[in-house]
Amino acid sequence: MKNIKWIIGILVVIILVVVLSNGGDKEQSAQQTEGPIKIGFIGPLTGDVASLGENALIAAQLAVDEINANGGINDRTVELIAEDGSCSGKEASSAAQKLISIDKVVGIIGGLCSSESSAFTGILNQSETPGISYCSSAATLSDAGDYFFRTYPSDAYQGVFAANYLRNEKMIDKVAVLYVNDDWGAGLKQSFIDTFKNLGGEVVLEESFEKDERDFRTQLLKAQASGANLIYYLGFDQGAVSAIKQRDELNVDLPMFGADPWDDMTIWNDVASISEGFGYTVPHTTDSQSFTSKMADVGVSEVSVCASQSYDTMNIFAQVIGQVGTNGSDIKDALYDVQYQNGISSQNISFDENGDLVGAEYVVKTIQDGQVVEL
Amino acid sequence: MNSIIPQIVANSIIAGSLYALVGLGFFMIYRTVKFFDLGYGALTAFGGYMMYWLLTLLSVPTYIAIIGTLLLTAMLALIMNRLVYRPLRARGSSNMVLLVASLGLFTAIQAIIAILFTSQFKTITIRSLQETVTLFGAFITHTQLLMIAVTIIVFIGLSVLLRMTRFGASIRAIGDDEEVAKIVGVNTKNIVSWVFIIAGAIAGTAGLLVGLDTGIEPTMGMQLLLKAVIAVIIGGVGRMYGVVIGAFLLAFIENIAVWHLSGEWKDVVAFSVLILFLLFKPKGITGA
Amino acid sequence: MDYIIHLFILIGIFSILGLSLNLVIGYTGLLSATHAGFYGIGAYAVAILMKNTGMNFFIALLLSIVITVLSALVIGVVLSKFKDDIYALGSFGFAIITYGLMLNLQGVTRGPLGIPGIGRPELFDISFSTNLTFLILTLVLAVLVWWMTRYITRSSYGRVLQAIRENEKTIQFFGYTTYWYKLSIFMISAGMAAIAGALFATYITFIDPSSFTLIESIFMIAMIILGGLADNRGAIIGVIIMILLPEFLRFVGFPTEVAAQMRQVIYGLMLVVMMLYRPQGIYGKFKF
Repeated sequence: MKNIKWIIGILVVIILVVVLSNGGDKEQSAQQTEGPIKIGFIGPLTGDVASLGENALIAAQLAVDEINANGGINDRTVELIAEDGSCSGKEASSAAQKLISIDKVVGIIGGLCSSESSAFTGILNQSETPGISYCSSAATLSDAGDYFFRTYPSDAYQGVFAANYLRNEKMIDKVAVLYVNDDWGAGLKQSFIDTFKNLGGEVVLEESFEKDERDFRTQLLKAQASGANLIYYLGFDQGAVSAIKQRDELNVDLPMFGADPWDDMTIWNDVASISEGFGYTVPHTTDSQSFTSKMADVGVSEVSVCASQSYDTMNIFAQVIGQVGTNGSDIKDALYDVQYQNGISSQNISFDENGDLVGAEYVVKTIQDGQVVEL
Repeated sequence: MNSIIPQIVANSIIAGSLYALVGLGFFMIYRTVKFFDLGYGALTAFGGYMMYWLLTLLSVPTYIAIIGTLLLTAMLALIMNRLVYRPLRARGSSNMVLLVASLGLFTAIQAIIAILFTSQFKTITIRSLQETVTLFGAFITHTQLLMIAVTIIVFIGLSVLLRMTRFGASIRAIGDDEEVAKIVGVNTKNIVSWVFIIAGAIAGTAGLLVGLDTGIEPTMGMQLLLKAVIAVIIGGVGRMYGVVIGAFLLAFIENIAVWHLSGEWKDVVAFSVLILFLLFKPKGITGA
Repeated sequence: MDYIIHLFILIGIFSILGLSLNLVIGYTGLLSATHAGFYGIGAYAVAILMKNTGMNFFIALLLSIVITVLSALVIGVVLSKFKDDIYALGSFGFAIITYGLMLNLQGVTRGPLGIPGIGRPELFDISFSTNLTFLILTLVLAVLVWWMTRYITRSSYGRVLQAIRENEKTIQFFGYTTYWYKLSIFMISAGMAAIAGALFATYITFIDPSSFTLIESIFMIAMIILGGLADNRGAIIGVIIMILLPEFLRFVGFPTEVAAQMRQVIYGLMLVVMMLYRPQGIYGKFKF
């Protein structure tokens, strides 16, 4: 029992020492001109969505390595410090507190899940540390304060685009919507359904599934029986593969249409042959090929959704810090005026007065003869 | 398109046989040592990944990969028992302590899998198993037929083992009262080790079948484990055929819930059924 | 310093959860996994009342306690009929059902989108908007809960609870209707969890169902088993370890790409080692 008391005592003391030794130079840290520039990263590195977080972290690290290889920012190297947010508010807020008050990061890339971002936007504003999320889509994050930005478009853009495309170009009358029951899925399906109905279309089925669901058989039958012309499927990689396979197994003859998580070759390597005519929306970019091959060079054969945003986010930080230095409030001001060109996730990146990505443009990709083709 | 009813029945049977398979292994452990082994969930994921490693990465022949997977998973189960569960049980620790320890194992194993293989999902492909056949107006793939067949074989095998052999009698004796079993000369340590080996092999089978059917990821174990637990409870904690009945009942309820209500209510409906069973038939449907 | 204050606030919130859960698990001997559900109901009640009606935090807190206690009544009416394993399984079920309702009653809870922008508490002219003042509020409430649990466990009512843990049949024989005792302590414990939920919602200022899953319940159970059941100091020590350990592991300096999973591995193994090393918990008086 005494041992345990000692262990706890030592734990507390160590943490206190770490904090106090860093706490002394709080004033200098803003004008610090020596040593590496520290940037924090928050995303789910464990748990259900870890695959997306891992991928995004590698992409951000890739950007850091490139920046350092080119001489860093104003002759200072960049150091990326990653913390796990586990897609949970509690974890993400601890991670952000640690990054800001212990590591004294200049800015934070993250979080991935809206639940992560929402949990630490307050901390960003209080500590005047700018944060740029590369994946959080929840509409409510637009009001998250001056220090929060995002390079991932708010739900509105993609849902509206997909609805317009399906209704006006593909002349779809009735659609069945299957969406993953998380912030991303629920938000996106709402903006899609609102637009689709306004355009005179009919949503004959609207159902969600859990993130770890792999059995879509009965839901697919239901979509078939609902009289829909198409299944709009909003979900991530493994779920998508299961759903596409099961659609084929069950001879459900409705085409499927997806969103940007489908821009992932792991899916198509597996199921392209049974996905003829399927399509999905993805942000417009001219340079995704070079990014994919760079990721392949660091050992990542499959690039998942939000990785390109994460990569761009790091580069945006680098561009802005290169212009105005490491002061949080200066970086924030500069971010509102930033014009980032030739992005991987989007051609031009700039932020509106809410810190949201301005005018995300989308394109449709389809599967033809087993190949992914951009329309 | 074919008619709906046979297909929904088929969907339920496919899902039910997976729940039953996972449930049977879980039941073996629970029946013998009376605690909730959360680590069993991690074993199923481990099985899936061993199959992926052997078949896809090392490209060994299919049947060797399958045997290797079963052996490796059984071995991990045995190691977990030897290093953690046995010492704890020898000290007479409560099943709550064992629950926490198994949570620790579950967390650690899941994370180790993620470190070794990343969290990106993987699929395991055996071409000949992907073909679809039509049975009574329902579509079903070879993988799924295999899953159903394996479940039946495992169930019959375990039934024979438990009912007809001395080994089975020993397991039942330990499950009823370990102290008494020891006194009458059952080598409890040995028997419990074998139970973990068998349960581990079953978990490995379930994991590799899931890998063939839909694909694998490190966190797949928890979902499978939860379904198995409900199946075991609905069926009545005590009889093996109860697990199978419970699993199929659960699968039918879920699929009917999806058909008549909506996908998001699946879990709520399944667990409400569980509560109703506990309330009105606390010993499960097979209970006296 | 903010980081340390943040950790102390979390410790305060989880101490309330640990202390209240200890009443049910430690003192009465009922393994309940529904605690995260009540924590969530409390959090949602406060968040919704404050956002939609602009109600003061402290009035909302009182109402949320009432709402949570009433939900505990509904659940407890069923659950208190059970004991031992069946109790645990039933509480598993209710944990998943409450989570399912939070996720799917989107008209009330906004489902997976969560509720953002919850305000910090205010009392007359005092605002608890800085972390330091919030910490003081948390500690005041935690001490209050500590004092209440101490009072309850030392009363004659508390002694009946402990008798239920030791032997429910015997105490029934002496004419106590154990059902009412089990139900009432369950409701008291849920009311305290609501306080923790209210603090969590207004501290993070955002809630979504993912904070209130079955796994979170198991996390709380692990906390009090680690510290030692049926001991208030034990509950607090368990909470401190379970909150600080993962944070401490952030400073170990694992290679970036595996750091997060390595934390999980070490964390899981530490749970196992601690169970092996001190299965009755650090302050545990009795072995479960």
